[in-house]
Amino acid sequence: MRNKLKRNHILQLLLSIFIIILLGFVSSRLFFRLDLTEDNRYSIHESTQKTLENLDDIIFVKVYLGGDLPAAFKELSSSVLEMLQEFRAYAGANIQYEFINPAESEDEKQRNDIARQLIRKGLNPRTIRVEGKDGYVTKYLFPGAVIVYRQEEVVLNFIDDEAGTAGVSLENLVNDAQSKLEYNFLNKFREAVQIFPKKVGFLHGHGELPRIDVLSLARSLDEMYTVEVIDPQERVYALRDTFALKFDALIIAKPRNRFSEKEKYIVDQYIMHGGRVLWLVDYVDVSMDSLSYASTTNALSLHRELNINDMLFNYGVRINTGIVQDLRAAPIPVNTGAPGGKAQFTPTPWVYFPVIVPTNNHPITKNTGPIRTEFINTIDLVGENPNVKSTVLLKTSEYSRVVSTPTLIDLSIINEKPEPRYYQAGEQDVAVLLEGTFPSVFRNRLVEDFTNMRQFRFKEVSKETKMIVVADGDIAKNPVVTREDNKQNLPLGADKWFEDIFFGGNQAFLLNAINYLTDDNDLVALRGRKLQLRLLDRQKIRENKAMLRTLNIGLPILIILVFAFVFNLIRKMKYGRK
Amino acid sequence: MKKYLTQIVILILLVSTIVVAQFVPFGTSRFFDMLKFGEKSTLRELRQFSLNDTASVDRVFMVSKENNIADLTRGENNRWMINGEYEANQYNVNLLLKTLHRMRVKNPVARSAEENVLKRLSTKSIKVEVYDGDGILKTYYIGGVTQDQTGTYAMLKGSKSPFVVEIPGFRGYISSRFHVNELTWRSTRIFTFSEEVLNTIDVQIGGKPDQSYKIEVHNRGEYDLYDANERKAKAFDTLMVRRLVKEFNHKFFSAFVAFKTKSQIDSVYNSPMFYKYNVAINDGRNLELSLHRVNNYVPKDETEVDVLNGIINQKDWVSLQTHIFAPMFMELNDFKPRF
Repeated sequence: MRNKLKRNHILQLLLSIFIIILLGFVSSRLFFRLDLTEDNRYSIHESTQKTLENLDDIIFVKVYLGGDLPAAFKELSSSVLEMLQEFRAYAGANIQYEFINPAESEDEKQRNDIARQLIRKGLNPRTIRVEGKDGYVTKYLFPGAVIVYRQEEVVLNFIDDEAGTAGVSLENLVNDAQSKLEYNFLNKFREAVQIFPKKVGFLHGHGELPRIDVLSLARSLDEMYTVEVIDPQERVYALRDTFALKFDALIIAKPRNRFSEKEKYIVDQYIMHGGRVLWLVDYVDVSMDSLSYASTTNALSLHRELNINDMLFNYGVRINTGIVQDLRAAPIPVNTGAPGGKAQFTPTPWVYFPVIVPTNNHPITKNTGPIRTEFINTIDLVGENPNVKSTVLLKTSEYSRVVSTPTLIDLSIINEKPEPRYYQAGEQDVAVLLEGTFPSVFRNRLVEDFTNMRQFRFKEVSKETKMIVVADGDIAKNPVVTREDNKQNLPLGADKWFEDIFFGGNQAFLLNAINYLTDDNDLVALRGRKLQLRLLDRQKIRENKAMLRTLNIGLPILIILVFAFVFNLIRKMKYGRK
Repeated sequence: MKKYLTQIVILILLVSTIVVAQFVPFGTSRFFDMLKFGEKSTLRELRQFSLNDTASVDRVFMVSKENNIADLTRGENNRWMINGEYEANQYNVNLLLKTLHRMRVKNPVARSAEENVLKRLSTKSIKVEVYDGDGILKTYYIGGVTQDQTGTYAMLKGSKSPFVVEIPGFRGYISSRFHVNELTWRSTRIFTFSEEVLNTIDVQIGGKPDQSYKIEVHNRGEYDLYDANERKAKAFDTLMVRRLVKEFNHKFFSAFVAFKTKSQIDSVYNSPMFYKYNVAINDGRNLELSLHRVNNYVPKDETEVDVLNGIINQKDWVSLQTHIFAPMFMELNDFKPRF
């Protein structure tokens, strides 16, 4: 009898163990999600769904995160797998993927050949030290994927290389990579699928921001578009051919020198033929560098110098020459060290550098984050052209005022207590979006002999097009540092002096602006997707500290005790002697 | 037993779900897809192109649509033979085996191109059968090259879909490694004879017939030398003879000359011979190599011309490099005793 009981117990134990093992296997394989979050953070965005559903051929994703990986990368690998499985739910067999271990071969030469090939393709390796049989060995990891569409190969690096070199911790990099997976994949899918990638041009030749100052923005754009620098040099066909535009969008970033009438004509006719322009123009000639040598500097107006006022006016905006001072301002470093002692720099708000926090719900500005500006002007909407729809995209804070130029910029202003009563000019418009059909600035100005020449295809009124005018050129300017005589750019929005200060809005706003101008609205929507951080209310925690502690520790114990009591009671009722 | 019925039912359900998932075709159900064993990949077509163990391969049979055949078989001492007759180029065979071991799927063929690729595979591919001692291991169809020249279209027998294959880390295509031209598979070794297997070496010199000679090779490094009239030399420089005999140990020509017109072939075969070596081996075989100058040009110095034509056994036209064979350009006078 006892033996039989023993055998039964062993059998039951074995059966239970088997079931647990099998359940473990099944649950580790099954992937499903019930997204109950308000912001649908665990579901892919509509624009991604649409892109995936519209795929007309196989996209093959080779993910180089196979094999034995450190914990952080294993987590990233799982996220990528889940994302791809999610994609397959919409794209079906048009999304195929494979996880590859590039270090799988035992032959060192072959491993090195593969690593070299992947680097040549554009994947960024990351080195890790792992413990081997004979001590530590260096291994290369390729946290990225090669996406193949037909014969087109596109490379996606999951880890942001710029942030990686800026000393951000691995965990943060992986977290960041996980949060951007959907956007990055969508971006790369689009790049692979596009037969002719769209082209974005940086206009040069009028003292615009030098290349190194816009490198961060150009790099980000380069992941979506072909980016070129174009100096028209008064060539009529610099921006368009006879029948087609050469650029899908044009960026005019902080011109400092005069536009000749011929060059105005080139830009104007580019717009008339449907070209999209992002104007980043301010009319103030003032440099912060001057303030590092002297306590004052002059701010002069450039509006006559640039010679584009009539153009912008004609399209529906006027950039004013006054400089905005705003109490919501970005900091500059101020030496607060003792005289004669070691310099100690403290970030101090500088009212000439307003920080714009977009408040409207337009896709371009939605969830972009704070935007840093420098010596920004104001914009007026003019003309009331019924064919042009104007939308104000950016405004300063309500605690701002406008200083007329020319004026003296005095560093001593930082020592003054910010008094809101002096900043009562209210919100100032600093960026607008214009959409519609624009009249040419050269209408009724050119002789008929010229306008009738068919090869020039002069247009008096534009096709349906759009442009964005921002009254600040520095919005696109990334900080540049000199290290060992080499100039290096920092990410757009980073602060040259203080590592913990970062304005992510600049990059997001400008990318959104270009995406919007080039009609890539799905990318704008995806970038603008807000994932609300549900942080704990610290005030409430402080107030109810004791109760929360008691609940956290006591409640589970109480539940178990109740469960045990009920279980016992049921047993007693079932098996107890009556 | 009744007691455990629930547990047993759950167990059976779980096991059968997992087993069924392995057999259901990929794409039928996402639930089953996720329960499949194997790599993390969605490609469920036959795509295992690589051979894990090429050491066990003893035959690779390749045939083109024009019915040209290259049948490579592993012979004695692991030496590979081509079409059962000639020794194969061991380097090329090893390269082929290495390719079979390393080739992987680069990407699936785009749906828009699949029909074309399949058509081309069915009309212009090379069928490759790989065997080991137990029979056929794999059958491939190797097609053309992708437009960017970094991949090769290929398909496994039994599969419905072609793939683009590559060797990871290698930039280029691999279709050129699967060819059925017997001449390019043949070994370019011509003289591989040690002293032990040599019987006689008969050397005729085209421009100087009186300088022709014959060497008889005996055991223990002893030789007899005969002049053109079969007269035995009483004394000669044995070191020079040995040096010449050693040259027959390891000699390669450059390549077989193929795809020539009949007139070109006739002109070479009928051109005056420059040197002719006839080697008799102790297993009864004879090997004859006659050397012919290209375009009958007679240089002042032999090394002035890089390439010579050669005819093996009056059959195969080969091209060879002068500097490889120059040490064998010896005349009878070279063996005169030097003291």
